[in-house]
Amino acid sequence: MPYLDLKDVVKTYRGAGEPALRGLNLSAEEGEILAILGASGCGKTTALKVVSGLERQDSGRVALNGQEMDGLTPEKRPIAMVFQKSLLFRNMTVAENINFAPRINRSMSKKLLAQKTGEMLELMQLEGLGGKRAAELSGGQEQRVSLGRALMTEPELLLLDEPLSALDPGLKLTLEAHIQEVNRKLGTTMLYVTHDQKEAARVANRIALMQNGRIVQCAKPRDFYAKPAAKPAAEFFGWENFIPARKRGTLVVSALGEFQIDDSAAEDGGVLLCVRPEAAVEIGQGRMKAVVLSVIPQGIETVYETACAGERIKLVVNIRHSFNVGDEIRFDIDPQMVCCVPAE
Amino acid sequence: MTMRGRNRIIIITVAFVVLLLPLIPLLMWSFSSFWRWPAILPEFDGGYWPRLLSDTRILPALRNSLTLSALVAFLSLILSFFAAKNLGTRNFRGKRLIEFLLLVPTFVPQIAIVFGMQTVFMKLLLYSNFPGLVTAHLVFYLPYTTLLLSAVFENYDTVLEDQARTLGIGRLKTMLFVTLPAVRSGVIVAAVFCFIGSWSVYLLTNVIGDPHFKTLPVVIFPLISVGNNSYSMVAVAIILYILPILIILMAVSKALTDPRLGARKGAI
Repeated sequence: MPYLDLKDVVKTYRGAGEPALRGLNLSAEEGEILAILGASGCGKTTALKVVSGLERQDSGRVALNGQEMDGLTPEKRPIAMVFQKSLLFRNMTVAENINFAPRINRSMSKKLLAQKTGEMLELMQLEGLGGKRAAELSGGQEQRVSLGRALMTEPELLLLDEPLSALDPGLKLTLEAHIQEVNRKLGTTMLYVTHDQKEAARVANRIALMQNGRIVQCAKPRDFYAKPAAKPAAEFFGWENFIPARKRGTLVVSALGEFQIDDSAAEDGGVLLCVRPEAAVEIGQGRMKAVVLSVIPQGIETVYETACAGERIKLVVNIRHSFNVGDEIRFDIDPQMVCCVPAE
Repeated sequence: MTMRGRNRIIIITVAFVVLLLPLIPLLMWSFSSFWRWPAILPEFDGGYWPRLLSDTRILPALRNSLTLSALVAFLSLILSFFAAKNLGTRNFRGKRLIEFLLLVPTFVPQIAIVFGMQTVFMKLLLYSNFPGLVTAHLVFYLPYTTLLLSAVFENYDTVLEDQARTLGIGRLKTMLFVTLPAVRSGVIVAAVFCFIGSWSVYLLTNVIGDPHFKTLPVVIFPLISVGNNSYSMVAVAIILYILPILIILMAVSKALTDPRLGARKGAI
């Protein structure tokens, strides 16, 4: 039985026409970081709220470590949550924030509380800041305090709701590594919500891609790049060109040519051939021809929208090669950068 | 000087000019028997203060006013807290109507309500006794406090409570250790305003209250209005009337500016 198990969870907010969760099925293994990835409004935060007990599902069940969570209030669940905003208690110091839960609940002796607070400050790389006011911290430090405060409750499951979305890219990378390190050291199972596929791929052991209140695909990050299960998953991970094709065994035939695709989620028959925009190689020399329809400069690379064999294809080309609207681009497609998904 | 220090000085200066400066001539009058143009300073006479304080009604009235207003402020806070929180943090059908109804006791003249209240309170056995007087004050100041507090809660994000509860903190402790500190300044302001409102009530106390339970306004207002008193006696009475309010304001001013004592707007 999975460590965290969500079965057919349905949730509709009062006054909302559409359900936020439409039979959500999700499971996480003990000690892993499972990212829930999806666009805004797809229901990922609602999923976390249902797991935490802040929202009650209309139907379906939530179980953690074999124990039913339904009917338990948030404070009774062995689950802690870190929100998008750090939500520090401004009238308290960093140390008081960190040890907030055990201090208020008097679940530790004073000596143990002081010891654990010190250890957590060290783990969160906040040594020397224990006496500072929460208001004096930087954004990154605030999120470390928030994370430390949640971990002080020694949760069986830690929920992280876009915890790094407000931080600048450099700090984000540092904290992502820090979250992974904490996961390795403490073995805490984490459910990590984000809308950023690269962030999900960097942080998580597995990614559950969510769309319209359901999980579209749950797999290791590399699988989303190598063999997405469906067009929405492919789109979310940067696959942009979808060409109607026919598949028989490992052979996929399309207007762009024939491709050998060994491992694919699609059955034989009508499929969509997916071609990454970065798939164009042998620029200026290849066998294929495309006519440039528009040019979008993007720093070191340029995105060309082209017409190729009756299909509109987006190609990303290094700026060493330059083309104008109406020019012909000769190229080949890197067979490693194609896959196929079931036709819609 | 820091921005915060500068702001503090500006606030203190404005408060001094607006609140305390007008009291200086009053204070001078309270210690003088004669002050007419062209004299720059009045003739000193320290006799008015002992004369007023020796009035056997004054100190009991002061005590009664403090008791009544403190109780009304306390009960208003307790009774309005959750209503104000829901009003401030949630949107629901009929919210605007409720807000309007809460405003009614503020803009309808007290005299229009008081005599009607007298009849109702008689039937409810709340006439001419202390519980009745407290209830009568609450009729006016409970809606007022609810409105004040709801404005405080409009700047409060309940996600702080969600955060506490996902850390294993129960509802009661969440209210005590998270909600209250976060809105503490607003609660203090609402309590002070309610206290001041109740402190100033004259007509209601006179009509509904126990005739033996005299509050400071009930004792002092006749002193001020009856024409045979001198300016000096009026000055002493007014100062005595507003002094407790000033003392309370000074006492809570620290709580309103101390960052340790609660979050302000945008603190989340």
